[in-house]
Order: sequence, then C-alpha cells, then structure tokens
Amino acid sequence: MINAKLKKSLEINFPKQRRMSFLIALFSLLIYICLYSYIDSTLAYSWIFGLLVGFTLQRSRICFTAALRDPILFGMTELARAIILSLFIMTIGYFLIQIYQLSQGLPLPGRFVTLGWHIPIGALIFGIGAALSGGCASGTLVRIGEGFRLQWIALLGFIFGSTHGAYDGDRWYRLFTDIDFPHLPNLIGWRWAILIQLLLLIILYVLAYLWEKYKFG
Amino acid sequence: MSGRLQSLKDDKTFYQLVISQAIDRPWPYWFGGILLALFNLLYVIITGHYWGISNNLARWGAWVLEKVGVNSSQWIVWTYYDYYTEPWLDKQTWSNLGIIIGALIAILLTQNFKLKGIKDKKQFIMVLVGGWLMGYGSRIAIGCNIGGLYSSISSLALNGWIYLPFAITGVYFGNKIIMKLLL
Amino acid sequence: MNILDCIGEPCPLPLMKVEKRIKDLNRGDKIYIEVDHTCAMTNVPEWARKRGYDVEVEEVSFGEWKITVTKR
Repeated sequence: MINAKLKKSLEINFPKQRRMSFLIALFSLLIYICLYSYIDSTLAYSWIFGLLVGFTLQRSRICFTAALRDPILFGMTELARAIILSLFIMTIGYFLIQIYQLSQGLPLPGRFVTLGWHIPIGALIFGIGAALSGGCASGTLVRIGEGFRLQWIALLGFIFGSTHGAYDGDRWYRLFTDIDFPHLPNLIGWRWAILIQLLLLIILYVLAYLWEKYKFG
Repeated sequence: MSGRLQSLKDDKTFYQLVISQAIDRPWPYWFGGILLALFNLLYVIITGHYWGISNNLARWGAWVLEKVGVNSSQWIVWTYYDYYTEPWLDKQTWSNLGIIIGALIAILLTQNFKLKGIKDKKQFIMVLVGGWLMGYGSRIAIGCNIGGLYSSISSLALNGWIYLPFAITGVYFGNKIIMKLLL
Repeated sequence: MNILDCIGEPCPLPLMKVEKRIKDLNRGDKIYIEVDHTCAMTNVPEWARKRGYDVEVEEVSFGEWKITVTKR
C-alpha cells in the first residue's frame, strides 16, 4: 500500500525522461573523471564546458542563426540583443584576461585569422548553409541532442563540407593579406580597441531595440 | 498545462511548483547569454583555449579519408591548423560531444524529448546541401559562427567583425531560398 | 478551422507560414499551429505576443505543442 503510494509519488516527481536525464548526467560525470585521470585535463574541462554550454543553449533556446535572421525577417531582436549582451561581457572578460596574460608574458588567448577576401566569401557561404540546414554549428549540435533526425543529416553534410573545404583550403588561402594578426589592440592600441568595440556593441544593442520598437509599434 | 499530459505534469506540491517554474519553463534569452559568456570566460581562464566547433569536423573527415586510403594528412591546410592523427585527442571533439549530451540532458529534464523524423526528400536534400555549404564556408573563412564570430569578436579580433555582416547577408539569402522553395 | 501542420519543420518555416496565413484572417479568428520544434515553440508565441495577439501554448505530447493564436 505504502509502496504503491511511494511509487506513484516517484512517478510524478521523477518521471521517466527526468530519470533518464539524471542517469545520463551521472554517466557524463564518470566520463569526466575518466578523462581527467587517464587522458588529459584539458579534454576533461572541454567535456564539462560542452555539457554546460549545450545545457544552456537548449534551456534558453539560443540559436545564432535565429539571432542573425529574426531581426531582418521578422523584426524580433530579443535574441540578437541577448547575444550582444553576451558579447559585451565576453569582450570585457577577454580584455582583462589578455592584459593579464601579456603582463605575465604568457600567450595571448583568442581567435585570430589572417584577413583577406576568404573571410567574407566563407561567411556568406556559411550563412546560406546555416539558413538552409536550419541551424548553425552550435545549433546543429544542440538539435542532435534534442532528437532531430534531420540534423544528423546536417552534421553529415557539415563534415563532408568541412573536409571538402579543407581539401580546397590552400587555394582559398592565397587570398590572405599581410595582416596576419588582426587583434584590434595590435592595430589601434588597447584603449581605442576596447572603447570602440564596447561602443559598437552598445550602438548595435540600441539600434536593435529601436528596430523592434519600430517594427512592432 | 493541459491536454494529455495533465496527469503527468500536473503542478501540485511546492516541489513541483518550483520545478515547473525553474526547470520546465525556458530560460529568458538574456540569462542564457550571460551564462554562455561566463562559461566561455571560465573555459578560457582554465584552459587558455577559445571555443570552436568546426575545425574538429574537418579533422574527423580527414581522419576517415586517411583510414580509407586517401592521403589527407598531407593536405596543405594542415599548415594553417593542426592535423590530429588521433582526433579523439582534440579538445573540440569533447566540447562538441558535450554540447550534444548537454542538450540531451536538458531536454530530458524538461520531458520534451521526442525523436523527430524527416518530412520528405526535399527537406533531406536541402539540409544535406545546407550542411555541406556550412562546412565548406566555415573552412574557407576559417571559423564557423562560434570560432569565427562569437569567439573572434569577443577576443577583440577584427576578423570577427568582418565575418558578421557577411554571415547576416548569407543567412538572409538562405532564407530567401527557403521561402522560394518551401513556402 | 485554420490548422497549420508544422510537425518536422525547422526553425524559420513555422513562423513564415504563420505570418503569411495570419494576414488573410479577420479579427477574432483563430489559427492552430502544430509544432515539434523547440525553437519554433518559443519563436511563434514571442512573435504573436509582440503583435498583440492572444497566444496559448498547449503540450500535446512529449515534445509536441499546439499553439493557438487569436488575431486581435
């Protein structure tokens, strides 16, 4: 009698899918421990980082393609503004980290790509692909986790395309210019770099807000 | 919440109320954005690496080709970014897998998981072509929307700012194509 | 009955279809949208609320939603 009641309460409080999620979370922790103790701590941290990011992206429905698309197509900028806010925090954080790293003589963290026409062309192709496949790189991965069979195909295409692009890579990289370290502080100095970037983000945020006001009256 | 799931997801106790408010409801975008920034910063501080996705996919593709017999490890691109003879030792492999599993955990937690099918052939081909273009474009520009856009802009790199307007234009044209074909 | 079957359709399509269909509706008319895309499930209600329409989201099954939009 009590047992049945307990079972029912368990069923309501911890339904099947939720139980599965706890199980998978536990299993993920196990993988973390294995990675940390037997292979490499960086891989273990990457794994945890991926879990947290995937969880956050799914829970908050953040999709980068949507952030690029919704302002123009539908006039909705809430998501785009959230990304801008995120970039704002990231910029300040990265700025501090980079200054600290430099002062300690450590390597500068960040993503720097040699400038050239390959960036606009690649970005354009990437954008078209992201719109067609219904999700950017992170969106595709999140949606695979959500159970979309369609995104398996997208990932397959992504891998094919990446490999194809890698094969063609050196042909495109002839478009490289001399600016191989496009770090803004390197180009215009630390003070101007952070000032201009933060100002630009604020302007974009305000413009997005006004655009939505205009679109929805 | 009503309908068929009433008995399963009825909010009754305090515990269930908390769960339904904190977990079942999607987080606001801004909250996700802030969390995303914090996790990224922590990741950079701890490991010293930026967050990227698509380099890894090219490595896996090349690895498979290498196994099949194509001499893909000798491609010139690998002078621009590293080739891994064992791609499972690439940190991006693990962060990518983590994103998939993290999303799975999140959606199971809210009981919204459903294996969703493919509607028709047209959709199949479009998604395959879309994925292909996405991969090719991200290799040309050396970065997808994460490495080339999010991590670039936040690390004060000019290449991210160049990437942004063209990615927006690309997405716009892509949506025009969708409208023509499917609407 | 205005029913839009968007099961299995990726993100921009459901909202595009709603936007197109809702133009032909009169005030007070209802439109039902069936989606199984988590993104569209937040996207469509958000758009409709911003337009000032009445929105109701009902979970039909695990990961499937029925959105009711009443034009105002």
